[in-house]
Amino acid sequence: MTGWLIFIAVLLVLIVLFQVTRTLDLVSQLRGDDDRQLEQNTKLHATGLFIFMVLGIIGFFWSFRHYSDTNIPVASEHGVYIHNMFIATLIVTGIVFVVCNVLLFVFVYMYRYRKGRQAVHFAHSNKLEFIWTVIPTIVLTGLVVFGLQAWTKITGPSSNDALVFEMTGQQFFWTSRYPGADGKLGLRDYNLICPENPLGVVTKEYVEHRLNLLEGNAALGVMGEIPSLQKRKEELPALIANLEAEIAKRPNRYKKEELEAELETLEDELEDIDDKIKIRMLNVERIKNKYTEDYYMANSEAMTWGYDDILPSQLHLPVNKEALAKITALDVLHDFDVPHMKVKMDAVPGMPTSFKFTPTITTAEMRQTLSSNPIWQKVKEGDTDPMWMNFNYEVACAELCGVGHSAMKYILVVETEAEYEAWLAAQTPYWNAVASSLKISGLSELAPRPVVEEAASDSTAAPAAADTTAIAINY
Amino acid sequence: MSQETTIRENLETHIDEHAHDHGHDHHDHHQSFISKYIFSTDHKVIAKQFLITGIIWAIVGGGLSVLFRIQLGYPDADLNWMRPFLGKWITPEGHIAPEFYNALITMHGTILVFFVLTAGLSGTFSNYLIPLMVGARDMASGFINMLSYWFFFLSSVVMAASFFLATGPASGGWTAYPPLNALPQAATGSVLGVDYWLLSIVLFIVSVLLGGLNYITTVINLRTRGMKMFRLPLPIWAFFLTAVIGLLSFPVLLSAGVLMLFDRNLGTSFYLDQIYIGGEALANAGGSPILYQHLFWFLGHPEVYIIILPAMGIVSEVLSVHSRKPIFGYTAMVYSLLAITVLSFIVWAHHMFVTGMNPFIGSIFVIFTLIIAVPSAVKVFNWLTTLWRGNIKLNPAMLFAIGFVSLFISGGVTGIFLGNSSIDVELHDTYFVVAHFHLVMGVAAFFGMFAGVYHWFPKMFGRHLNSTLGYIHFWGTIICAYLIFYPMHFEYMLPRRYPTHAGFDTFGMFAQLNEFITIAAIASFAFQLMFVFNFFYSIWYGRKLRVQNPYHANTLEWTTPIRPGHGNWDGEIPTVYRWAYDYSKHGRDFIPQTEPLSAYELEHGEHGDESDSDIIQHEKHNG
Repeated sequence: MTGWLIFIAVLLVLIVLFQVTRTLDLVSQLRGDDDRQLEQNTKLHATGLFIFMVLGIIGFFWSFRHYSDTNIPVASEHGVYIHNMFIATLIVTGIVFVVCNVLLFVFVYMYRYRKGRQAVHFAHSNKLEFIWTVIPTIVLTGLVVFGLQAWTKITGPSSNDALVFEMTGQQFFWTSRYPGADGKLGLRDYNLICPENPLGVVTKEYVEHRLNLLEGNAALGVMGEIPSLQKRKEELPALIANLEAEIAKRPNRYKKEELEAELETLEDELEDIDDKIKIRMLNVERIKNKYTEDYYMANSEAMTWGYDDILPSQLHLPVNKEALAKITALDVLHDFDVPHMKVKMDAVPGMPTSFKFTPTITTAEMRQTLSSNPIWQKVKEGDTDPMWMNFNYEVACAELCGVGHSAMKYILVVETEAEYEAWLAAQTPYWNAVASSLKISGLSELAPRPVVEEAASDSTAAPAAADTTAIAINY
Repeated sequence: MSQETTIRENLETHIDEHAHDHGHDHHDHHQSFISKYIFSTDHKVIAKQFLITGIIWAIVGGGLSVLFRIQLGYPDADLNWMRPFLGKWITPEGHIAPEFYNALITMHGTILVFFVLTAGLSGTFSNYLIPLMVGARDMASGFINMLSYWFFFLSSVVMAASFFLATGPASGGWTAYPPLNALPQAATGSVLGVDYWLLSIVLFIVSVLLGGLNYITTVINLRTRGMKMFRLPLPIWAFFLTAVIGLLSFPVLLSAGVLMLFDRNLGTSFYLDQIYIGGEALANAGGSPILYQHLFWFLGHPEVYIIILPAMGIVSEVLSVHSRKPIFGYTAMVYSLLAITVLSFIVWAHHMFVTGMNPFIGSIFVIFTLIIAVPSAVKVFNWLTTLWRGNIKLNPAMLFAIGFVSLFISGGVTGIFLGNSSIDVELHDTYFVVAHFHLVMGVAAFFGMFAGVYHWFPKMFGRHLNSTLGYIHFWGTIICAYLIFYPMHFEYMLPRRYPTHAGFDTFGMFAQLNEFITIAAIASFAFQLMFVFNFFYSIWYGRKLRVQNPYHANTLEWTTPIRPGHGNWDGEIPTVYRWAYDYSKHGRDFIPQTEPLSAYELEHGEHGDESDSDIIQHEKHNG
C-alpha cells in the first residue's frame, strides 16, 4: 500500500515538473524575443559547462589521490616495464585530456552567443592542420617504439633454465602441474582424461585404464561406459512405457505434472543416448589407432615422463627466478590472469600458449608492504586478522568461460629459493596417489614408479615429435 | 558519364512527375495507413521506423544494464519481488543467478552495439538525411530500403524471442566466442540461445547490407545538380563511408556466424579442437577458436567505426550550424574520415594481443592502431577550432554535440593505452576496457545521436521538442556518464564479466565504488526515460514548427516544405552552387547551398588560404 502511495506521489511530482517545463517553454514563446531568450539560455549553460569543467578537473586530480591505495604493487620484472609504459602514456594522454577539454569548454564560454556579434569565417589553415597532424604522429611514434620494446622483451623466448610449470583451465577451476625430478612434463592427450587422470597424461597404464573405463573389462569387473549406456538404451523404452501407463492412470493433476516432467527427462535421455555412445566409441577408436605397438616403441621414453609429474593444490614459485607458464584449456577459453604480476594469457583448447615472468616480491614481503595500506587493515567477516596478514597472490580467469567464471581462483605463493625447494621436496607425484586405484590388468605389479634417470640427463631426445595429437609440452 | 547523367535525369523527371501528381491531389489521400506508415518506401518514414525501433531496443538494453548494475552495486539486495517477471533467473536467496547475469551482459552488448547504435543511429540518420541533403527525391531503391527495415524487424523479433527460451538467451558475451558459444553443454545460453542469436545476427546483416547498398548508390548517383562530392555536408560523407565499411566487413561476420551454426548443428570443427567437456572427449579436431576471433573482429573493429562515424558527421554539422562558423578544415575532415575507414580494416587484432596470437603480428597491429589515433586527433582539433571565435548558440542539440567532443576526447585517450600491446597485457578484459569503449563509442555515439535527434526533430515531425526537458536531459546524461565511466578506470585490475568479485581479496576493495556507479547508472537511465517521454509527447503535442529554416542552416533539407511529403520537394529539386558551410562569410550570417556564387566570390577550396585573408580582413574591420 505504501509502495503504491509513493509511486503515485512520485508520478504526481513528475507531472508537476513536466507542466512547469511546458509552461517555461510556452512563456518563452509568448515573450517572442527568441534571440534574447537564446542569449540567456546560452549564458546559463555556457557557465554551467565552465563550472562542470572546473569541477571535473578538480575531480580528475583528486581521484588519483583518493584511489592511490587501491593500486596494487607490481610484483614481477616485466610488470615494471608495463607499469612504466602505463605511466608514460598516462602523462602524455593526461595532458591531452586536460588541455583539449579545457579548450573545448573555455571556447564555448568565451564565444557564447551574443546578439549582433558575428562569428569569424575561418574555414581552414594548412599551417595549423599540418602542426596538429605532425605533433600527434611524433608523440605516437615514441609511444609505439617504447611500447614495442617492452612487448618484445615480454614476449621474447624464455631462458633455458626457466622454471617450467603448466596451468590448465577448465570449467571452473585451474589445475597446475610441475615436472618431477626428470624436469619434463609428461605428454598429454585429451582422449585419456578420466577421474584418475584429470589432465590426460600419457602413460601406457593410463591408456589401458581409459580403454577399460570406456569399453569395460569383465575380468576386472569394470562395466565400462559404452556397455552401460547400451544397456540403459535397451531399458529406457520399457521405463518410458511404464511411466506413460502410470500417467494415464493418475487422475491427480499435481502428481501427474511431476511424472510428466520425469517422462520428458527420460525421453530426452533416450534421444541423446546414441550420441553419447557414438562419442565414446570414437574416443576408443582414436585411442586404439594412436597407441599401437609402433607408437610405444617410438615413444618409449616420453611415455615415462608423466610418472613423476606433480599436481599441487597451489602454485609455488621461487622469487627472482624466471618462470615459464605453459597454459592450456580443456573445454572453453580461459585466461591465466595474475594481476600483481601483470600476467595475462588466454588458455585455448587445442592450442598451448605460454607466458614467461619473474616474480620479484615474495608473498611474505608483500604482506609486509600491505601492512601499511589502509585497505588491507580490514578484518574480513569470520576472520580475526587484518586482511594483509593472510594476503596471497591470486590467479583469476580473465576470459568469459561460463557460469562459474568468477570462481576460478587459484593461489600463487612466491617464496625464497630454499623455501621453494623444501615445498617441492614435500610434494609427491600424482601418479603415486592414483596408481593403485587404476582399473588395469596386473594391478599388483603397479608400484609407484621410480624416476627414470636417463631421461633427466638426455634432454635433447624428443620422441614426441612423432606425436601430433597429444599436447606435447616439452622444449 | 553521359549515360549516368541521362539515367539521373530520367529518374528525376519520372519522380518529378510522380511528385507533382501526388502534390496536386493531396497524396495522403491515396495511401492507406499500412502503405504510409508500415510498409512505406518513403525514406523519411523508414528513418522514423528505425529510430523508434532503436529507441525501444535502447530502453530494453539500458534496462538490462540496470539489472546487472544492481547485482554489481548491491550484491546482497533482495530481488525476490522480481520473481514474477524473471522466475528461475532469481535465485532462491533473491539474487540474480550467475547464468542470468551472463545473459544480461551478452544481450546488453548485442542490443546496444547492433540494434541501437548501428540500426538506430546509422539506419535513422542515413535514411533520413542522405536524400534530403544530397537533393534526391528518395533512396535509389525505396523497395530495398523498406526490405532493409523489415529484415531488421525480423532480426529483432528473433532476438526478442530468445529471451523467452527455457534455457535463456545467449550468455557467452556479445562477441560469442567459441567454444563457449559453440558447445551446448558449455553454458545454458549456448543450448538454444546462441542459435537464435546467430540467426538474428544473420538477418541483421542482411538488413545492414541492403541499407548500405542503398546509401552508397544514392550518394554516388542521385546527387542533385551541382552537388559535387566535395560540396557534400559532412554527415553525408560519414554515412557514405560508414556504409562502405559495413558492406566490406559485415559479410565476414556473416561467414563467421554461418560456420558457427555449422559447428553447432552439423558436427563440423571450424572452431573446435581437442575438447574435453562434461566427461566426454569430443571428436572435433583441427579447428581453431582463434579463427573465429579473427573473423569476428574483422567486423568487430570496423563496427566501432560504423557506430562512431555517423555520430562524428552529425556532430560536425551541428557544431558548425550552431556556432555560426564553417566547419574547420572540411577537406581534412573528409580525408580523416577516409583514413579512419581504410585503417579500420587493419587494426582488428588489437583485440587479440593475449589470445596466443603470434606476438610479431601483434606488434604490427600496435603500429596501425596507434596510427588511427592521428586522424581522430585531427578531427578533435578541427572541432575545437570550429568553436573558436564562433557565436555559439547553446540549444540541446549543440550541448549534446559539445558533450560528444568531450566524451570522445576522454574516451579516446585511453585507447592509446589499450592499443599498445604491452600495456594491454595488464588491461585486457578489465574494467579499464569497459570504461574506454563505453565513453568513446557508447556514450559518445549516443551523444551524437541525441545531437541529431534534437537538431532534426523539427524537420522530422514538424514540431519542436520541449527544450527545458532537453536541457535537463543533457545535464543529467553527461554528469551521470562521467560519474559512471570515469571512476571505472581505477578498477583497471578487475576482470570483466564477473557477477561478483567478492571471492578475491585482490578485487574486493571496490564495493563502495561499484555501489556509487550503480546509483549513477540508474539515475542516467531515468534521464533517458524522460527523453523518451519528451520524444513521444512532442511528436503529437510539441510546439509546431512555423518556419522553414529554424536554424538558418545552409543545407538542402531546410529548403523542403515544413512537412515534406514523399518526394521531398514540391517543385523542382534545387540546384547547388556551393559547399554547405558558408557561415558568417562576407558579413552574412549564412549563405544557403542553393545560392549561386556572386561575381567576386570564390568557392571554398578554390585557391589557397582564402579564409586566412578573410580573417585578416576581419581583424582590420575590428580595428
